[in-house]
Amino acid sequence: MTTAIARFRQSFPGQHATSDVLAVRLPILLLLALPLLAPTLFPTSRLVSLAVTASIYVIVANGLHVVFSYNGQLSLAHTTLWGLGAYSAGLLLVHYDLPIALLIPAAGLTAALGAVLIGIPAFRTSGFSFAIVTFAAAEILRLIGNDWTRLTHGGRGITIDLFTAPTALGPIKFDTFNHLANFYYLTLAFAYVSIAGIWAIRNSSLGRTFIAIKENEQLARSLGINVYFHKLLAFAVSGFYAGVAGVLFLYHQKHIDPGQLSPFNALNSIQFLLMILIGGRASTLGPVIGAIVVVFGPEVVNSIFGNILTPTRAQIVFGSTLALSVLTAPNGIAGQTRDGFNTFVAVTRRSRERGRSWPVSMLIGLGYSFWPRAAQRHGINVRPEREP
Amino acid sequence: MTSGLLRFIAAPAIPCYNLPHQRGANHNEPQAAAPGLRLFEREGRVPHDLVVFLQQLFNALRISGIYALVALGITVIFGLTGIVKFSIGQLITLGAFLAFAMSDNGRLPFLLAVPLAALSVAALSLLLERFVFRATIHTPINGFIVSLGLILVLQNIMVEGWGTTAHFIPPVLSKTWVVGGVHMPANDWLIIWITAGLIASLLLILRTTKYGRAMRACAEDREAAALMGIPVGIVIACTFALGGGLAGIAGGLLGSINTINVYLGQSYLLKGFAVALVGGLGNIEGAVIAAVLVGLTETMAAGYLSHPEWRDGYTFGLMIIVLLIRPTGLFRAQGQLQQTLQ
Repeated sequence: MTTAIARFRQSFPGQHATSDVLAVRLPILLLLALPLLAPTLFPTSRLVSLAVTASIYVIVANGLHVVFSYNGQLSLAHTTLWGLGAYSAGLLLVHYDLPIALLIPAAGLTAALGAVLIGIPAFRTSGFSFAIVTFAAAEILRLIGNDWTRLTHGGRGITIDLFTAPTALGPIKFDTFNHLANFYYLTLAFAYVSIAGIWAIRNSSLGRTFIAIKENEQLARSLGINVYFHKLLAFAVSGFYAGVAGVLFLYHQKHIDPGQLSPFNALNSIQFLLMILIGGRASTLGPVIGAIVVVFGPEVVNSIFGNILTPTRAQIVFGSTLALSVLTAPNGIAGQTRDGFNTFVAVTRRSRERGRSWPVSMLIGLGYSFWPRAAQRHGINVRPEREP
Repeated sequence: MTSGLLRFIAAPAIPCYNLPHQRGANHNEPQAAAPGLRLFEREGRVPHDLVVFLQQLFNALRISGIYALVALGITVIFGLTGIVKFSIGQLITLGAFLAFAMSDNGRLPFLLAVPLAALSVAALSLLLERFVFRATIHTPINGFIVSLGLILVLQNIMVEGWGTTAHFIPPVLSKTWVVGGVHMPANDWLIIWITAGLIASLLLILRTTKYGRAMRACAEDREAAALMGIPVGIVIACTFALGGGLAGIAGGLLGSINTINVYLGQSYLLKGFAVALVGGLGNIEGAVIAAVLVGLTETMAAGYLSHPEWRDGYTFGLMIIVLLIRPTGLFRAQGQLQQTLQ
């Protein structure tokens, strides 16, 4: 017991990287477990439904995180890949009545294949041209959804009937009418798996390869890294994530269509980019924070100020937040929190070393934690590790 | 391709808008509207497929002008700053709606409303440059992401202001000339002449005037230009205003061709980018030539291939193929060539 406490104390962050130590990771893990309580804590099924949406967004945003934050490629086809997953699942469901356990891998693989097919030509270009080529490819996919009526049902879209469609996985029922909590836990499980997945990628040699390509493509190539293949791989992984999320989205919405206002519209990729950038592109949990802010932020504001934030106005606010966060806080909420916490620890430590008492030191640390740049001016290294 | 052509020869009723049979005019009968303008006494002398071809050519000319305006706005901004300004689609919509709001119910003549709308959009673009894009001048990728955020802001402000219903600006000139069976609405000629005049004067300005030389110098090397005493900040601001103004004019003119709603700009943005990329980002003459190419591809493919609803797909297909063969576009990309994301 005493050794455990001693180890815990030793693990408290010092001058070194904070995110690697148990004292920081433990509270984060506890916070991550909090969504498990959502169905019991939330009074209305509307809020649970929003939590389902947030979980699905987490999966989609995590996919984009791999290709955008790790690999540095800005794909605007991401929502369309999401739609591709939803459509393939919907068509399999309508025509063959496949169970959800088969739909999820099938849709994931279809979207990954779609990503590879888009990526093969698109990765011949780079930078902005890549973004625009993916945008064009997404528009072509939307045209297929809209105009290849025999395959995709055209503008009518696909509507699934949850009363007849197979919604059970073994003995557990997942229909969103009577068993919304079950469905929420299913999406949450996939969200957790997706977080674990990108965490594993980030901490493996594969993730380091992705980041090497992002940091300096020429250098990566000179080290013998197959840049083209790794870009395709990252894109395929993100497509797989999007496809899986598509199945869950289909079950949640019960209707999908290729219209201009559908969430699969290519420009809607901005939404997920926004989540990553608001949450923090340098952190594994950035997309999670972003998705929660985007889904529940308007709800919180509306419950306090009485429905002033219509969806349109929320979009205006989020758009300006995106622009502002890029200009002022490029590492998002997670990055700001990390900088603030590091500053707090470093300033408090130095203040103690100079002989101030604990409360005074912590007060000073707290004050500086809101303005890391001021601490930096005093020679305190706020960011000991290089951000990925 | 061949099957499409065969079908076209067998049954001339091709589903493509602006064709004679859809305008409600029977082209075998003499037109009362403009009898003096008929070049051929008898309709039978002009083969029907030639008529259709010329009609498509005319339609291509009209739409190419609009694409060229949008693409020029994109390409001058990219050439100078390396920023890909994606929010230009919303500036097109804004131009269309301002022109609509000013000319609605005959408040102002349309030909006065369009320049005024363009000036307002240019002013907005100037403000955005001063307060937003100037901060991203050294990291173009941030400028791109900021412009994505601006898309959300501008789009939803317009949804708040005008709703999502469609509006229509009545054409200025309602006359339709028929030359050898080709129907040419006077309004379309007006648009063609306006766009052609604008493009020609723009090319002239960029080639000959002091501002044009300053802009090209900044595009080549910003630091060197600054050392030569060129006010780089002012040149960049002017170029953003120019790009916004071109988008505003394109939007205003579109208002008299299409019905307008708040999602109008999105497809034209993508077409503009297709044109700018095919022509080589930053290459001004390339953008004009590529606009004609894309306009021709689109209208001809829609007219002669069997599925006109895929017209956008043909354009994007062309763009992807061109970028595969020549990643910098058909003509050499100019200006800031740092096309990397970092």
